[in-house]
Amino acid sequence: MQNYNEFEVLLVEDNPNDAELIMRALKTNNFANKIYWVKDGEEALEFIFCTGRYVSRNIQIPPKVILLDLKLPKIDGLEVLARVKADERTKSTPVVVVTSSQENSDLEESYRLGVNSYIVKPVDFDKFVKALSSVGLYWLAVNKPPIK
Amino acid sequence: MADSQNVKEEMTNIVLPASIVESSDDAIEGLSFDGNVLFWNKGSEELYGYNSAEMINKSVLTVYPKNRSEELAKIITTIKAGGHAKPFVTQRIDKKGSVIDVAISASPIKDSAGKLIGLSVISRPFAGQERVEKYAKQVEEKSALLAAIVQSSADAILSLTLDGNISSWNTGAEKMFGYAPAEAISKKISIIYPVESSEEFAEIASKIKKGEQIEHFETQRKTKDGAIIDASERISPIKDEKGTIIGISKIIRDITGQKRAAQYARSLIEASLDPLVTISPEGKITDVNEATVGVTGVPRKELIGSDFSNYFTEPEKAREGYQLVFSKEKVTDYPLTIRHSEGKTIDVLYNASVYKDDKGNVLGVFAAARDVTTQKQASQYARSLIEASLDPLVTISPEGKITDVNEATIQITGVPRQQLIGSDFSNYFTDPEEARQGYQQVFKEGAVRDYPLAIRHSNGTITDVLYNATVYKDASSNVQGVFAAARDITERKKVEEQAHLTSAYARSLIEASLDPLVTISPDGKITDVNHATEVITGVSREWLIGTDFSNYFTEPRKARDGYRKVFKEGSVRDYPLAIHNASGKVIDVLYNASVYKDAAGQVRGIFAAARDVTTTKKASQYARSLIEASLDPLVTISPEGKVTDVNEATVKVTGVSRDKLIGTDFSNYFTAPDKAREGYEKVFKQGFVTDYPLTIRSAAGKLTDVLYNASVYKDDKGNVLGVFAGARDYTRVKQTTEEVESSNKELEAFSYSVSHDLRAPLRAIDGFAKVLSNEYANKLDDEGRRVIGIIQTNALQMGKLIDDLLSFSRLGRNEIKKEYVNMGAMVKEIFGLQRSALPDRKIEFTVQDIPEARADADMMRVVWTNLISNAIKFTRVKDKAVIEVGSKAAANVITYFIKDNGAGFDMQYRDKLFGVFQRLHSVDEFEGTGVGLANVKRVISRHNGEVWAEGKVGEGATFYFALPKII
Repeated sequence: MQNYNEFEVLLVEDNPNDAELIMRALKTNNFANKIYWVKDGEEALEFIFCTGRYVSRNIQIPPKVILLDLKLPKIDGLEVLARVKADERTKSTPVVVVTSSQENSDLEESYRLGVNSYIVKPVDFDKFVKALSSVGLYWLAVNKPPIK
Repeated sequence: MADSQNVKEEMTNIVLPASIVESSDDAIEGLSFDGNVLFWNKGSEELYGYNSAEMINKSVLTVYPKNRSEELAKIITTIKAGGHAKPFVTQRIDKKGSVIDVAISASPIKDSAGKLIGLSVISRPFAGQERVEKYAKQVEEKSALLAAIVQSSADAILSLTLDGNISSWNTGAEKMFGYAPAEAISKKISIIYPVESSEEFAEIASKIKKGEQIEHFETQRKTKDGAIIDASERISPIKDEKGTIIGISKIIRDITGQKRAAQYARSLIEASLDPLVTISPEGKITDVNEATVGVTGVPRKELIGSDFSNYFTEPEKAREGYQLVFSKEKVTDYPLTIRHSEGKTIDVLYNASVYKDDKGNVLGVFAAARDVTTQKQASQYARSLIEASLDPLVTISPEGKITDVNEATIQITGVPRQQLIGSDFSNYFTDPEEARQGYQQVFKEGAVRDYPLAIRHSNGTITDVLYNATVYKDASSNVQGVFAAARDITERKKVEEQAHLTSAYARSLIEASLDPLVTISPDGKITDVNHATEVITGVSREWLIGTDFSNYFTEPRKARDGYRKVFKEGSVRDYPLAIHNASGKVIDVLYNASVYKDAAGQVRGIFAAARDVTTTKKASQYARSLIEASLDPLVTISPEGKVTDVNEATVKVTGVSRDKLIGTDFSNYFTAPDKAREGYEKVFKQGFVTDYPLTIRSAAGKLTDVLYNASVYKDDKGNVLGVFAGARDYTRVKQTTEEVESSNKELEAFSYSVSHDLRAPLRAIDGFAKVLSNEYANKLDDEGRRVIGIIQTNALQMGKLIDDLLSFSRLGRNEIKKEYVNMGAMVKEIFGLQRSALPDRKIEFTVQDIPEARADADMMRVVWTNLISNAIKFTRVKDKAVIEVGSKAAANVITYFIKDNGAGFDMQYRDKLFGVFQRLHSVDEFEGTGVGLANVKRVISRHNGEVWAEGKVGEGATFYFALPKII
């Protein structure tokens, strides 16, 4: 059985191409092994709250960062964000929205719910890699999470 | 009835002589002027031998010798002439018929009023010449006494036998009791007793017989006609020469009046509201009345015997007061302050005088106090009122001198009080004679009202006044002087003048009025007109006045009804009439009229103002035709929600005829009647509504969506009469709006999916092309790598297209948030950002001092970003780019521009510049999507501005955009 507690990054992304490119981008900084990828909001919530498929996970050991797409099957990204930020146990977990949407409404709502960063996926792969590796660097290496 | 004064005198004079008469040795008789004997004393009885009963009422000539009877007439004549008969010696005849020598003297008897009623005669036996003179002297003395006795004849003097029979009865008795001597003599004395009783007399008689003295006493007696009188009686014994008591004399005095007077006096004293008191020479109170008890709060018993001075705040002054009375016999208005036992003080003025006994010995002081507390207060109050009066007040003596003035008089004359008092009243007026006549009139008539005078102030100022004046009197109603109050009417005069002017002004206003004005008497006659009435009727003023008002109208009956309505209801408004001009022209007018009243409130007539409404009428017809011509359904609604008027369009949209619409509920004609009701209620409440959506349901069931604009309409006075509502059929607008809204929503959804779904594959294309070129470069030849490059470039270009398209869409949809935008700073910042990416370029960039704009800042950023990037892009063909940003301000707009020396453009294509995806250059020449200037145009248009460009190929371009100054 896999130890889900070891993953430092939870990637929530329904598009496998984008997911691969994101993981490739993070791989250059040697964070690849610590990434866990789920494809919809429902699974993301199970992972985060240690329910369903991820009941064995310890909620006391959260991922260092959640990379969250907004347009997701089943439960969309804003809903996931809301649930994470509304729960005392998970609200301190950094959430970075990584999306194609530049819509103001999405931005405003995300910040209202307490998102930690909002990144628009560029079409340009070089920029994409740059953006994601700096996010990874920041949240995984620079940022100090609270000690549980 | 004797008054108390006489009674006192007589009391002292009578007692002694009565006994003298009785006890005298001389014969003393009283005679009436006809010679009859009134009384006959013991001496007479002894001398002449006739007893009194034999002689009373008999002629005294009985004792005269026949040859000497003329002596009686002589004596009577002498007495009647007011003299005394000197003693003379003559002869008389006694009962036995013997002639005796006697010396005679006579004196008059007068009643209390001094009227001669008879004479007294003293006769004495004559015994030799040597005694004559002495005797005469004695007689004279006794005569004087007798005269005094006789004077007392107002008293009843009568004698009684010891068994109570009346033996003599004088005129006093006759007067007092009403019995003539003949009726009384020989009767029992009990005829004058109120109760038939002999006991009283028996008791007295027994005392007399025993020789006891009987004090005078008061009792009651009865007259012939039964009246009871209060009487004082003195009783003396009648003795013969041996001293034997042979009878009783009675002197009775009627003291009814005295008694009543005394009772009356006492009750007066007691009833007096003024404290009255008698004080002994030692200063002790000897009597008080009830008022004194009241004012001192000390009971009568305690007051009497106590020191008078005890009861005053200043005892010493009280003492001085009564001592002053004792020394001067009288004081008036001596002021003292009584201290009540409870501490209250009462200011009084004492009037006091001494009272004496009969002999003139001062017995004490009689003092009357008058409470002047309230009077004092009242007078102080009155004085302060007088002083406080703003009206000049003055009192004037009968000689015309000022005796008192108040402060206001000093003010108005400018003369000090001391100088005013004593000076001539008339001095202070512009017309002294008039002033004199004024106060003289007051003295003559008692009062004047509104007597006009003009006071001259010492500084020359003249004040018009009206005098009201009356005489004032002392307590005895003697006129003391004139009290005169002036009222300053300078102001009133001014007001009157003003009023006069005002009325002249009013008249000129009336004349100046363009509206025909007319006054009408209650019988419908014109009483006054203005010039405008002359003009509109074509009839002269002289002719109009006095004629029937109704004459001048096309409908005289209606005119009559009109003014009758005014008389009945007080006024009418907008009463329509048509004046028939003398030239035959008819002028429509509206009359406003109301009754006018005199000062007493009596209706005197009507004031009517007409307004020529010929043009108004035309205007209203015009308005009506406009209303009818309107394609929008128009309707008026009453406060009750009833339709009061409609136009043809309303008839059409409802499918209901005009007649049937008017009077029905407005709300009936809508799919949501409640909402319709709320709508017009809102109008009545707020005054208006705009774009109130309702749906009209026609009679045939057809629905018409309308937007109502409605407002209240009012009469001249601002009273809301109803609602005027105009509907606009927006069925089509509504449909279109709905369509636009839904297509907008679709577009939004499209844009959203474009931004997500369209870019994701591009990212994949670019991303994996990159992976290929990075990780598999060694497995590709140059051509392979070039192809991959083309794939990437196109993917990026497409991504850019999508981004620009999205931004174009967003700029069209996003709400404009206006703020003040510092355009200069924004331009410099954007330029700086773009310049930094092109370090190799030579660019001369200048920004003028451009004004700030009131616009959406984010959108302005889009505008400047596009224009600046274009300028930089299209100048790269030049060695040195010259870009200039500036502005031109006009009245209502600010025009910004950006000018470059770049590639420029052909002016014939300028219309294509701002179209979406429109490009004047190939991507090979200048990259771009053709969306930038479209975005600029969209933003400027949304700010109600304009954008345009000028250019020349190879020389450069200038882009302008103008924004309204106030948006």
